[in-house]
Amino acid sequence: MKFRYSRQGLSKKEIILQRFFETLPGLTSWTLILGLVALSIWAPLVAAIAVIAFMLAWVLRLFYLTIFLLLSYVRLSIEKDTDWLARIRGMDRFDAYLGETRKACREKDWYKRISHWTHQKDLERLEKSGDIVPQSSEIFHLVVIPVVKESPSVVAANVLSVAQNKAFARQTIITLAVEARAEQSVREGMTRIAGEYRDRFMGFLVVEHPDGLPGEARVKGANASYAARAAAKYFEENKIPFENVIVSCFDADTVVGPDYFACLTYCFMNCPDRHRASFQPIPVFHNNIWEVPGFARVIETGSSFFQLIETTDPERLVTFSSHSMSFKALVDVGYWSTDMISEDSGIFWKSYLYFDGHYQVVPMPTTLSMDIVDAGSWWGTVGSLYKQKRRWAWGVENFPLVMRGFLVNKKISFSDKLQHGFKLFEGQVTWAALPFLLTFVGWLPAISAGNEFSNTVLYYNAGRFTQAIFGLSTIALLGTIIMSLWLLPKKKKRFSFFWTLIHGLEWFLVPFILVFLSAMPALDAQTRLMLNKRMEFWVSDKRKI
Amino acid sequence: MIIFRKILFYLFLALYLALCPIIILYAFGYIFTPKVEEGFAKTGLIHIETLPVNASILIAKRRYAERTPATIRNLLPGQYDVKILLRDHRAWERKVKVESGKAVNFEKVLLVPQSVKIRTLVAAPFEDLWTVSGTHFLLLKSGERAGDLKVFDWKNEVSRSVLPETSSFAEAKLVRVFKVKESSFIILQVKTSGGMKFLGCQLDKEKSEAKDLSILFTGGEPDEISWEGSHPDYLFALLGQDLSRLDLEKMTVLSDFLSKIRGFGLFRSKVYALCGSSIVRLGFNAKRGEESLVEKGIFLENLFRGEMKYKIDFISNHTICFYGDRGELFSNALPYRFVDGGVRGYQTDAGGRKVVLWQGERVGVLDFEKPERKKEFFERGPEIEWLFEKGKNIRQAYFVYDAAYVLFCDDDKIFLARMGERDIPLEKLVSVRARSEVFYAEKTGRLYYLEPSRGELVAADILPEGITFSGVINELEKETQGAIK
Repeated sequence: MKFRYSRQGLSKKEIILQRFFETLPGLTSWTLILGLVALSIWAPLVAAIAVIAFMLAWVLRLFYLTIFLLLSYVRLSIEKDTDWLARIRGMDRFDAYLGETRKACREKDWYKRISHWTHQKDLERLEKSGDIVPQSSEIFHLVVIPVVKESPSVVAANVLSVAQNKAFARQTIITLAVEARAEQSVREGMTRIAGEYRDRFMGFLVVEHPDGLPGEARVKGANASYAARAAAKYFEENKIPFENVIVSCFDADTVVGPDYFACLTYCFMNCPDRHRASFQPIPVFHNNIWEVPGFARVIETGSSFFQLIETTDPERLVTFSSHSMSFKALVDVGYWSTDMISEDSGIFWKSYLYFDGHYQVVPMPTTLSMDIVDAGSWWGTVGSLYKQKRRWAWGVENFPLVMRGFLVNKKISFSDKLQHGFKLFEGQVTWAALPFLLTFVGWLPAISAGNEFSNTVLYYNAGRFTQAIFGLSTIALLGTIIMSLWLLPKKKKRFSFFWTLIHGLEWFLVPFILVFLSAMPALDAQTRLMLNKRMEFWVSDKRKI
Repeated sequence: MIIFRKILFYLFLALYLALCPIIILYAFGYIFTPKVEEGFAKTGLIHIETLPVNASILIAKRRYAERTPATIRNLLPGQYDVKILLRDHRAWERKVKVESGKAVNFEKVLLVPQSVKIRTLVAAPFEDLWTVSGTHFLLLKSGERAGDLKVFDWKNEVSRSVLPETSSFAEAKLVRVFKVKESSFIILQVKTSGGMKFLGCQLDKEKSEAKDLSILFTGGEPDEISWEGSHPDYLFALLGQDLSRLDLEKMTVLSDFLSKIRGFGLFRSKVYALCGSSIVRLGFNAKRGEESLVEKGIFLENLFRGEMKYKIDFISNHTICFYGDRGELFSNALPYRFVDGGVRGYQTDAGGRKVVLWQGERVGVLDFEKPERKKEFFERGPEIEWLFEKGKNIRQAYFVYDAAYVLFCDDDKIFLARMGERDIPLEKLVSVRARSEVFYAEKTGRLYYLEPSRGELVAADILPEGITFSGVINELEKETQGAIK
């Protein structure tokens, strides 16, 4: 369905609808927070019941998510040593290879046995679909790296990591999408990188995006889309069908592993609906993880965990940060949004609406690494992290567009609309309101209780339950700490037992982080959207030392 | 994974739907018990906090594993005998009515030792003890002479004579001691062969010293002298209906600083006086006739009818008490007129929010910050809660344990009454010397009094050692000082 995924050029009726859905998340978050505060003062009994019901839901949810975090981590561990290239080569001769995989697996390692089993199931599914698997030699990769103020050293590390995917480098076209408004040194740096690495790739484009094109905002999506259009011309000139191109839009600080493109190619070949799908790796923030303050390490590990959990729900998975997709799909839907900050999640919703719900995100069992925000000083990093999280939370701008799209699209089932709409809405509201409710408002009924309430059994029992629930959540937190220690990269220098302990204890900063660096920026973003105060695109401070 | 996720989701949802109502019902006090016909019963609970802690709890003769502080839950509605036992302490017993869904709260239960620990502080016989409220000094009188008056510092537990040993007034007869709250400055009125003398003494000095202030009192013997702080610049002396200002630096007197007054009080370097039925105010440094009117009207005429005299006492920044010479107690807070007569004295708590007052046969508490009663036809203020009304000769009372208890002296016995409880047998603590004052210091948790047979100054531990509120009190003192400044 053709739906203009933008807030520009709307009719009067559409503007009213847009504003209604823009107001809804912020209004709900504020109503929840202030409503419970008011309830605690005027009806502490009702507030106490609400707090118990709410906290129980929260602790169960925490355990539920921890299970999936563990499963997702196990899945990542299983595929850690998978030879993706061998699988791709095998899939190039599909029928014979399928027969080979059906033979009993002789691996002794359980992880490898499970990996083999899931691979076999994937192949059988592919066979059943009747899809013709493209040859890996016919698949090309387009890597778009938008640059505005990122230092050349950051971008060079990105390009180098792509070049290290030697099996696919000669099928890869790098496009450095440089803003014309970028400083001279940045633009020169990009030209220097192109000169240095051009020979390693099939093609290397440096595309300068003019400032202030009509219908565009100063957002990453406008830059990336302009570069992708230039790349499209390249493919047309070189007679490469768009169907054979996988486009990856990477943040400038992204660093991929040497088998990343092998894994991506495998996922693409393995997906029967490959032109109706995006491919989402797990973003981890390991590039500078041991150089940043503890709270930044905790929050970004938390972000990775969130994405790990999300990958276990492919039906509701949405693209986030660096991601890949069929170039044909990208061209069909009209590239990334040029007036939205959250173009990463926006492209999924745009495609989902365009293809009438027949669009999915395929989780990739691999990671790519990015930088943690680092402004050089403790307070500076706090400020930068806050702004980065607010920008992420600005993803709420998708909600009104998606809801408007759902209202006009009659081909997407009501159930899918309901589930997607609810998840999008609930996710945003929970993000902004939950930490406030847990940290502050939950205690209010007991604090503001008058004599009437403080002489009830409920007054005494409510505190007991709150304590028990916090005890249980500490167990879940301990699980998270252990998992974070598994997931974190090895430290460049050896830390004493004391510092290892301190790094573990950093997780107890979670209440502070949840409120000040997660909920508050989210509430800020929702309030801005509610009040129609749009956000300028802001680039995070990321340094390469 | 999708199917597994869905199964797990519905499993957790079912778990939530099952657990949530159970937990909420339990939080309200509902339990399942086979003893009750319907199976479900709404229970109540008893919460107990004691000092000292770790006392065992018996409810309806059943000993509970929990020790204080503890919350005993799941009690079916009904009457219970609650007993708290701690070794070497007197048993604490109450009959408690537990209602469904309600909590009975016994906070700050003070367990009294079987035998109160008593320590001799000054092993010399004394006739009388006078308190200097708001300071850490006690005055001990052992004879008629001014030289027989000693000061005891209960904070540092040292004593000395009020007058220097070489003082020419040591042999003079002590007539009267003027003292005000929160001031370590006192004035002794002594009778010498040369007539009445007035001596200013500083109790907080290491060495005794006395300054002859008699030149300021040539106009006659004052009915009342008042001042502010431990090192006052001015004294205010009431003679009949006239208030004079005595300048301690210049040693001058301003007679008729205020005239025709029925009482006065000092607060934040200002004199407040009741003139007829009007309240006026005048700065310490002001000149005669510069007084400003604070309030007047028919309302005050009705309140201060008659010719009685009143002492104006600022017990907090907001609350003022008017203490009449016939034992009336009024206040600027509703319902203004609390007791029409017979009040022998009163004491405030550390924050100036509560007042314990006593008449000959009864002792009660006035809580100025008690929440207003809602849905009443008439607007009401706080009311006096009489704790004990069968006294013989109640002479003094103090708040104890953060105003959870009231300690009072009835004739020659000291009793302890728990706030909010009537008709409960009182805890008798010790016997004291008849007609002598007693003093309780919340800072040390001790009662200071004269031992009845020998008249020695002794201290009885009311609160367990180490459990005092000195930190809190110091803070309050600082706040008060700050407010006064």
